[in-house]
Amino acid sequence: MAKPALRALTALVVASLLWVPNVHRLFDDRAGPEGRAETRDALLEAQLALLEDPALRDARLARMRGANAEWDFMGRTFLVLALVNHALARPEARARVLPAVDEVLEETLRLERERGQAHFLMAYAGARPFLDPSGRSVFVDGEIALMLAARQHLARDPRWDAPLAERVAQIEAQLQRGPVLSAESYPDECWTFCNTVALAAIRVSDSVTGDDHAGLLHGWVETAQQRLIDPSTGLLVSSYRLDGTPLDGPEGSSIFLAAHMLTLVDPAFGRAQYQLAREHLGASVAGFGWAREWPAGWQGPADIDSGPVVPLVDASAGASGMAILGAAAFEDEAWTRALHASLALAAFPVEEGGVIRYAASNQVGDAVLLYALTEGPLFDAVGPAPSRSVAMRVEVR
Amino acid sequence: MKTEATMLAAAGALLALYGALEALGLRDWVSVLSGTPAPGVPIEQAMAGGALYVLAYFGAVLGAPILTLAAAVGAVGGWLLRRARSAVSPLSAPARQPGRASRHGSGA
Repeated sequence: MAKPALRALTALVVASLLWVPNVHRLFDDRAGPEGRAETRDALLEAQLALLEDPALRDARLARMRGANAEWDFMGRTFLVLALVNHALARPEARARVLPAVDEVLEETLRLERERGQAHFLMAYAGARPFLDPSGRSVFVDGEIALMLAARQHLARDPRWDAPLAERVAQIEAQLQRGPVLSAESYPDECWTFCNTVALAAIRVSDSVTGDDHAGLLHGWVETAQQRLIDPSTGLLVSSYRLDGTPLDGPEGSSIFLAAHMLTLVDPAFGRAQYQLAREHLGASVAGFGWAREWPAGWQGPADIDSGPVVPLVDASAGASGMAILGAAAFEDEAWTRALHASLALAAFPVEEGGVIRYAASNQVGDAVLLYALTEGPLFDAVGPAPSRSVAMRVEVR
Repeated sequence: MKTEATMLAAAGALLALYGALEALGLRDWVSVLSGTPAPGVPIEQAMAGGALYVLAYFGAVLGAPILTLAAAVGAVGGWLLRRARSAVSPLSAPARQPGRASRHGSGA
């Protein structure tokens, strides 16, 4: 190699060694606690502004539905949970938050009533019948129940009592009928994500009504520990047949949320799942953090859940978004900071007029992030289900 | 110095490209990454524009500073090399006075 070229190459290597470890400093302000609080407030305003501008909201939802109808639905759930957390943390916000929550609930229930649960599901939901005689999706029932329960926890309103009770009864019956105490999200397809959301919904509902489903909740965990654990990682698999046969291995886009939801049932199990997910799926380099969708040995194609996957480092947008929630819920400050640095680097924030959105994201992605940034008050107030020793035992088939 | 000047020019070009795409509003086109392309933009165009913006952005955040630092490292390194060479070059070494021992010589 000619000397000038060698010198240039050496200079580039030295410059890279100087710059790359320090790039994160550009984003440290945004990734630290104060920056995150600013992001939270600006995201909250953006999401509320979207609710207050039906034309803009319809346009955003239509774009998401074009890719995945589930996102329209999940965006509602995470927004409601974030708003409830916000109002629990700041009681003065309750007057503004409650109407917004009720608006989302009313519209969601109306759409489900008029168009059926399929409106919020991907098209293959109609390809064959559900195995459970109810023909219902716990993806829809679980998240609606969680929204209703969270709303009632914030401020109980008699008009939501019956819808919540019916929804919880529906889920309970489905879980009890399931051979592994799980319910289908799609025909013969159970998701850990959806079932743990349903468990959390039941737990939040119990905190409102005084009912006790601890036996069912702990029964689910015991069954999952026996039937739904990937032996190579110790992580819960992401999807399985109604009889418990795994369909997929663990996935980052599922496990971080599942671990969070499980803290309302079995906090030790939830934390253990988070720590395993962090170990098998988490990564941090040079101040930036991300999550992979699959642990080593479970490589799969990028899909609607994983989002785009960055080659070489296997960083998954979907898994990393959920990892932000997991890291926040389990108070993993170092990784939270690293994940937020990545968010500031690679999610392309757009700030205008005191609101923020992420250009690389969409409404559901921003709502997940908002929920992660507000996480704490609701789950802290509800607390885990009574321990196994006092819980009624459920016979597992 | 030509190499360093080229690096600085390349850094400037990367920054200019990013600035131009930002000014044209292409940041919103990266929404194609989340499967929700910018409204009113054909998908192929959105993918190409989004990819170009992402490359330009990382070019500005990673490439331009590295090139700038490399130019500085190269310039400093070149100066140090020239200085070192001039220190050991017999042409530039001070002429010895006849009859005087060198500092390292025995002088005996």
